[in-house]
Amino acid sequence: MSGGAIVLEDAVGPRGHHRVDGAKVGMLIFLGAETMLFAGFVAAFLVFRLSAPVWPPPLQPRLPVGVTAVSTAVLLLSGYTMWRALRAARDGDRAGLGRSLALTGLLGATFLAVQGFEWARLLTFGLTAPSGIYGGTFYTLVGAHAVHVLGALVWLSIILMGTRSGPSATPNQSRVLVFGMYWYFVVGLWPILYTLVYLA
Amino acid sequence: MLGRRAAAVVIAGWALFPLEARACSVCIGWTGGADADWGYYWSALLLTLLPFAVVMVIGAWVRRALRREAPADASGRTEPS
Repeated sequence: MSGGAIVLEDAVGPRGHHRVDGAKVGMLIFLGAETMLFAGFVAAFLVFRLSAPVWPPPLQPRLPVGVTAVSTAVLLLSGYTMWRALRAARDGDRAGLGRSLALTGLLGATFLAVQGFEWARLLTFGLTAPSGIYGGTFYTLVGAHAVHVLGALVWLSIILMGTRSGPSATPNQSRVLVFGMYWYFVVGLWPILYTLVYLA
Repeated sequence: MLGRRAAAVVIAGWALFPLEARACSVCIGWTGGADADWGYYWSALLLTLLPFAVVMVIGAWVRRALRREAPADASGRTEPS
């Protein structure tokens, strides 16, 4: 093992070793665990949602479908800028990488800000986590996703600092790739949650 | 042989038939929505099948990465880590 790459023995014979990036495998396993975490939340939501005689329950505020659709588009756009960042990292384009990552962060922060603003409004309308199953499932599902976006933004800012002040001329491609996997997960998960929580 | 296959298909069809597979251990005396058992059915199905899907995706990814590396090994080239 060297430099973040694990070496797997070739099962066929003595021809040699194959290298698989350990960081990527680790991230895949982590994302598998994350998938199961959100699957648990979604399963709980499905049980409560389909068990309820009326959904949303009476006297509960309606969710802001339109505004959240716009913030969904913003988050999906950040997936595109992340793709551009990965391409810049592959080509060794340091300036392009920094630009695309900064744009990705900006779009992610915009998504989070809009979500936060909407939650603040919902809280004033009385939709809180302890107010019932509706609020509880809403804040658990959407809040867990927001925490993941926030974590990704912190990680992104660390990578951005590295690309701007690092001593090497080319950015660390593996680090950006692994972050890209995580960002794609966060972006790809949101339309599922939006459809389930806001539209279904 | 054909009879055994036909029996297997019938049993599998019966086992996978949603109306038979629907079950809710806490729905006795249930006064909520009529779709409660469907909620349990789909969530149980999701949580049962998803771990297999996750493992298969990771396995497929590692296999693909190993296959990509194989030609590089054959030509004596090693990838910088």
